[in-house]
Amino acid sequence: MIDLTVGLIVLWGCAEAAYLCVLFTGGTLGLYERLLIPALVAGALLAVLLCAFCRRWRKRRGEAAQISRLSLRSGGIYLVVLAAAGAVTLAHFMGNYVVDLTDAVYEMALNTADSGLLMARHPFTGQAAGSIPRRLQILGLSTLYAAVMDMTGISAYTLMGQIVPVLVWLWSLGIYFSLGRVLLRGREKYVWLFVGLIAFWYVLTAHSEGMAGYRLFYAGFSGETIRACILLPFCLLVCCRRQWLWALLAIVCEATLVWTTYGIGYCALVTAVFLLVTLWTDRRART
Amino acid sequence: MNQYFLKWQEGVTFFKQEQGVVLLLFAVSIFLILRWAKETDARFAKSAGILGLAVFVPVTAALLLCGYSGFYDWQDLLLAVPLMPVIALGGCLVVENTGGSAPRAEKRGQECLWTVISLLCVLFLSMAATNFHVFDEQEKSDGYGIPAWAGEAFDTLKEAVGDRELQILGDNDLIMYARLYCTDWYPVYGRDLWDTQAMGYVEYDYAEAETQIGSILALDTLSGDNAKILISYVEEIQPDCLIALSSWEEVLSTPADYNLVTLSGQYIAYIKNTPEEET
Repeated sequence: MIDLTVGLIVLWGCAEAAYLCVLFTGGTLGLYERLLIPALVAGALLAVLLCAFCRRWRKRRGEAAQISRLSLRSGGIYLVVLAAAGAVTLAHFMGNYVVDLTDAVYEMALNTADSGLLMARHPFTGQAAGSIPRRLQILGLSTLYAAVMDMTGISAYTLMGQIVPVLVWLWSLGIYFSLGRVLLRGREKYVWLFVGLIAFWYVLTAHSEGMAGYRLFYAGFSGETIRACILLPFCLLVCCRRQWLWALLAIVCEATLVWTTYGIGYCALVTAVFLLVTLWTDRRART
Repeated sequence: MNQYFLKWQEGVTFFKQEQGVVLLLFAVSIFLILRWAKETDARFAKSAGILGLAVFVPVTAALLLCGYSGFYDWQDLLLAVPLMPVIALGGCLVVENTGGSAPRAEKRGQECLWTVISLLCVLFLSMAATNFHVFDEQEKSDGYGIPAWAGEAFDTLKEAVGDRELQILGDNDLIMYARLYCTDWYPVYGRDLWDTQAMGYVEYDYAEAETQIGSILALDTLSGDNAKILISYVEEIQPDCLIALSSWEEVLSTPADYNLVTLSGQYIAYIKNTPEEET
């Protein structure tokens, strides 16, 4: 799952690079769409090369995969919890639920698809583009949605209200599954229960503002949701496995997805705390 | 700094009312993980505990809000705390340790009990938690989420303005529906124009005006003083369109360069003349 997520982040990075090229040269959505496919192909190649290199490097250092494969059967009765929470979640997304239509990403995607111009309006004020700060301009998620809507003809509600949230939810569970395998090493039976409880938690917190479930259920397409459901668990996972380079990748990815403090977001905070605790515990172990 | 402390205070008050049990579960889970921990779990629990403390202790929370969430609310800062995995891991450890040394049959019984409890929680609590809304046929025909009364008003507005882009000043719900109806229509100010508590927006030049206009637009009836304030802002900002309640017409005089259009029984609109119309 780490490799897949790294691949996804690299793909996103290439789409973002294409977006920045178009943005800073004053191009339009049409130009971005023409650049997007080659950028994604290049991203896929880069992701494969990067993951292959890292696997080889880990193998050379003797850090072969220490975690055994886990079958669905090993989940036993705990799979029922996951299935029930999953059914509720999917029913929610497939029903006509109310999306957070006032989210800046939703507004920007509609605006971009409609006008064909990148960052034509300030999403928070509705004013002309000149007033958009640079650190908001570089967030390319809404433009990616606009390009997909434009190229495929999928409606905004279907893409941002149904397809993306379901993908984010599945990806999030995948990352939590990997995190569970790291945290519950030697007790693999409980990994399925761990993932089931996470899925259950998403459903339970769907009505509570500030919780990841609320964001996933009502604004599953936004950068903040992707950060909360994918990037932060990924960051926890790689920090637990001491793969600090991937944590750095998550930090950079967050800076291009969400409005951060000049690139320093929650992933940086989480990584810094984990790094300090690791250094502290290692030092104590040595003495 | 004081404003961030106030933000933390408001957030914690809200959190206590709505989600106090989460904090309790988080603390208990940290305790359990540290008690039954292996190396990775302990490191994970310690880091999560530090993150939790940083977000809940007022001084560090205010510092973090200042650096991380000045634009957002305290609730957004909560996302940095791994509440979900800590509580889930705590749950797994409870299940493991309550049935771990029991005989096989008894252990199976424990598993079934926990599963049934979890399932019941999922089924019953999720009914209350998720906010299903099935649109009626009228809403569907008007597009997702645009109610019939708003659709009717916008049809009239669309007839009056054609394909012209509009910078609209109006109340919260109406602007939201207007954005859905036509993407050429957009709000003059931010989406949180109506949220006077959103102090994160103070960095914008128009924050003071936003707050004042927002509170006026939220009123059911308009007094003469408020009408004067609103008109002064309209003259200063010069929005393309001001949508107001029909009942305000008596108090709100038509601003210069604007035409009055009746949208529906409930709403009227003051539409700014285009340069051609003026000449």
